[in-house]
Amino acid sequence: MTVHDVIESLGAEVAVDGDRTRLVTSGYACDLLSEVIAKAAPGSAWATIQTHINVVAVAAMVGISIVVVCEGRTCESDVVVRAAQEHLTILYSRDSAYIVSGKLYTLGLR
Amino acid sequence: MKLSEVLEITGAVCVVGEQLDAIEVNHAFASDLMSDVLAMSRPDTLLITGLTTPQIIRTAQMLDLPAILVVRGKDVPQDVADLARTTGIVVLATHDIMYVTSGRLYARGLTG
Amino acid sequence: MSLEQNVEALRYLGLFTSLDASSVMSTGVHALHPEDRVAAARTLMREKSISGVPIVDANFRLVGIISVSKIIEALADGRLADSVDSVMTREVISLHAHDTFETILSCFQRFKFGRFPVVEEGGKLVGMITDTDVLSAIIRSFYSVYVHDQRRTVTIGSFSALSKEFENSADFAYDISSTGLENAGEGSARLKAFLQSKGFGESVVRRASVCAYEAEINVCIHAGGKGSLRAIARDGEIIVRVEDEGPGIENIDLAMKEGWSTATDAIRELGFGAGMGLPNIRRFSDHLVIISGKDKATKVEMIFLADKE
Repeated sequence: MTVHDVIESLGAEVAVDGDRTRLVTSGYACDLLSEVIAKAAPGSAWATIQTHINVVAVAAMVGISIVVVCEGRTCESDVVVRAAQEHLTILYSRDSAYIVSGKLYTLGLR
Repeated sequence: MKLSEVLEITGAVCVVGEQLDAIEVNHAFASDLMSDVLAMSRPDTLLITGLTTPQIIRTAQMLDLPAILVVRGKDVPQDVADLARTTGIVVLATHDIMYVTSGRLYARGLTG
Repeated sequence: MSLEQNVEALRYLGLFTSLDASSVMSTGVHALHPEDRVAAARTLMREKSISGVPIVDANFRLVGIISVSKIIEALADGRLADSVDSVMTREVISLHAHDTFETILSCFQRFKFGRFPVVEEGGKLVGMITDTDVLSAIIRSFYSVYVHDQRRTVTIGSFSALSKEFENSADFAYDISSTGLENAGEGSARLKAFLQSKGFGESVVRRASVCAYEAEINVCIHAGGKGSLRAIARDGEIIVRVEDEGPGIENIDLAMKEGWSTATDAIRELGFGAGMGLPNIRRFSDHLVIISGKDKATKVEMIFLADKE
């Protein structure tokens, strides 16, 4: 599936509309940045409640395709600007990371 | 959902705890940040986390959560296991990552 | 010292230079229109316990003020049904939003009124300054005081005394003495057991324990792990007080924002520092007072009411 497919299926708010054509090949849920850097696969959909600027740096470093910020959290404006520059898509979801993971998993994203 | 079912669905093992078919959870919550968990405050919830400090036990204790499922193949240190035992909190562990574990349980009906 | 000497001293010492009228004033102002009745002014003063009511036109520009003494005169003359317009003072001594603290003090000294309306360019009324406001502003510049009360409405910046009971003794006391985050939470766990033994309900015990835990973690993360956790639990009420020895919260309003944190990356990797601690405490307590400031000790006092079950 692509970033576009994820956006359509989750129905979450699009905070940063990045490159929708990127492929999403796996899912990852984690709030510890060092863990994400070490273990997340490129092309992941990353569910987290972290909202600070490091999120964009980590996503770019790892090659994450889309970030889903959970539990109704929102990012500061500097984060949104930086993500747009990186063409990184960020969604805002009201759901918890558990539910977001569940929904994506049910769609077939492993 | 009984904890024994959780084991079955996720392939997790029991690190601390007994009589898992007698303990039920109605929801699950996945997070590595304990303050995030503390904001949740629903006692019949399974905590899914990759954190393995004593604080996961304290957090569960404060919220009256019955069980914790440690993901990502992390080892549960002895002091954490001991604290779980004295506070009566069940600790399970799986090699799978948080995303897959959550996905499996969600797909089998354990709500968030 | 004369007024001039006092003002000169303030200027020399550079005290309160950041406190202009707009940061001292109260913004919840009750005003009337010229066509309102004098009786309405009297009612307003009684109900809101204020001694002067500003009068504004349709564009909220200040056009007059009516004081208690004017009301008394109007009562004596039987003029309660008259419009405020016929009784009000038109030459209002007012302050501008950017007036300095010295100007404010000079105003109080020179004109013996108890309150001054504050206007901005264009004459629009934006607030009122009373002597209480001046005192609060002075206190706030040394200490930050944050008050949140579920039972009444939130009043940030007003002063609420900490419970006196703690001065004598507490029902529960625990010395927080933690090196690092590993053993943090023992105090809260013991508090929880104590509250349960006192027969408090599950829900209030959970709320109190979670808040005590968040406060204890804060002491470990930000105050070198040294502090105290005490509680009083009686008459359907649990009061928990957590104190440390600094370095204090520089800006409490920022600290109360969800997601805002001064924690290091190392702390974030331990599962905390997401900026949820104080917001969580506010969420679960019925009354919260935080007193702190840069390089000051922090005191957090939380009250939990049992009949909220």
